[in-house]
Amino acid sequence: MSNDETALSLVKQIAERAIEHRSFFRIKREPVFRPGADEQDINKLKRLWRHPLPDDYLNLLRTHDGIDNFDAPNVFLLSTKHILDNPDMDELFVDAEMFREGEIFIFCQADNDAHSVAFRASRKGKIDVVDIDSGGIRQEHQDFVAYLESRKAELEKDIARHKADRKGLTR
Amino acid sequence: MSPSFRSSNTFFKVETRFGEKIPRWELKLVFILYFNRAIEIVYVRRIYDLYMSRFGKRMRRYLATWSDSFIEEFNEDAHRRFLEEYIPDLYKTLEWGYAFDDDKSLGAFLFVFHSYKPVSEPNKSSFCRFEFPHDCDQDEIQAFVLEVAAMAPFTSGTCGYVLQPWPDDVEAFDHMYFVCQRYWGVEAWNQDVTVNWLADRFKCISWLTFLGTSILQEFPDLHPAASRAAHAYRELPTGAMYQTRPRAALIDLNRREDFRPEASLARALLPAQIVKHSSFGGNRWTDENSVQWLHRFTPD
Repeated sequence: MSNDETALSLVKQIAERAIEHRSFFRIKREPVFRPGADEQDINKLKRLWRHPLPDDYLNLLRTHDGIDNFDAPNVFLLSTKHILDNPDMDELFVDAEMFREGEIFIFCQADNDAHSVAFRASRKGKIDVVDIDSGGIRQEHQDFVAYLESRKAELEKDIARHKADRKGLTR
Repeated sequence: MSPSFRSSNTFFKVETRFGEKIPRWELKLVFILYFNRAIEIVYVRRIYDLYMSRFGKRMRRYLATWSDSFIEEFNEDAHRRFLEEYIPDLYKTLEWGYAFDDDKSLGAFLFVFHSYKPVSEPNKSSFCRFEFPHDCDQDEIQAFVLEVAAMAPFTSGTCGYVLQPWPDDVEAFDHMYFVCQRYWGVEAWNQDVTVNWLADRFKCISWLTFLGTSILQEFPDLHPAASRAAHAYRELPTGAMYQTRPRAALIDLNRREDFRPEASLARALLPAQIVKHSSFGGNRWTDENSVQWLHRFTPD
């Protein structure tokens, strides 16, 4: 499986598991897979950040230009339009001196708190992925696929824990 | 108890905060049963039915025990929802317990049950707690608690006077320290702490002390000794209840009030009592003096 296929497959599995995860909290949100982005918007996105965006991420946007309610509980994979319309999304974290200006590119964000996922460029130009909230960096991943794999594993672990908590109790 | 009991700040202190009267500390009669696993729905339903048949008409409010839930009015419609929906749906999503009360700031009747998640919150004891005004009819309470205890396989429990401090109120916990050092019949209270230490042991001697079948089976010599030491006892399908005296007592050490009944039962039950407990809270209690206090009737 190519990196693009792996990313797409993982994204679908995460969205599916997020539905089950939310059910333990009585949150009813279904993922909405948007149609693919056109090349014009992809090019604008590439110019928005001074560092190169990973190909597997851009190719995912070519298939789905954003996924509402992508991850549990309330995380969206942002559309090109949302990112282009909100170029200062990183301001909160830069003002808090968590990152330098232009250091991160946010591609996932919660719709009711500061939780975000971003590409981060090191001074040497290496790109990795950081999962962040107002308290700081929650997790770091070496690349986009590693981030998706980690999220899928976390959701599966959480779901298993919720099920184990309820085993034999909900009859 | 003296007529000035309630006017004294020793056992009751009410303060207005944000326009609402709150008891910073309050003497109550409290009955609590601990369970070393989540309470099965069938038992929750039996206990709910019994409580509501006795005290349901007093209940005015309820809320779920998860942190961001809202207080709701308790009425006939809510009662029906509990029977048809809320209790059958317990544990499925957010609700792992509920609390009910009569909306009185002082001397409230309160009933709460809550189960901890076995995997996410391991080693915490689930509980059913019933609070009554300190001057409630003790015969009525005793009859009720015996019925409840016979309904569900609990691990341990107590019933007696408790000085309840307002949560996170350091001065209230410090005050509780001084009250409990003088009045040995008033139980020190911080349930959030205690639930971490009870897995298969009991907390301390109270007016009525309950041991579940699992503890009695682990210590086969306990029941014969405790039944001899107790003022009265009752065997239950779920365990046993040991009573220290006909009525709950404050046991004021400054007045040299007799605590031999408690000491006698405490010695008999000592093998099953917890030996570890962290601080009850505030500036006065420590891990060490909290455990010492729990063992106050058996200092050696």
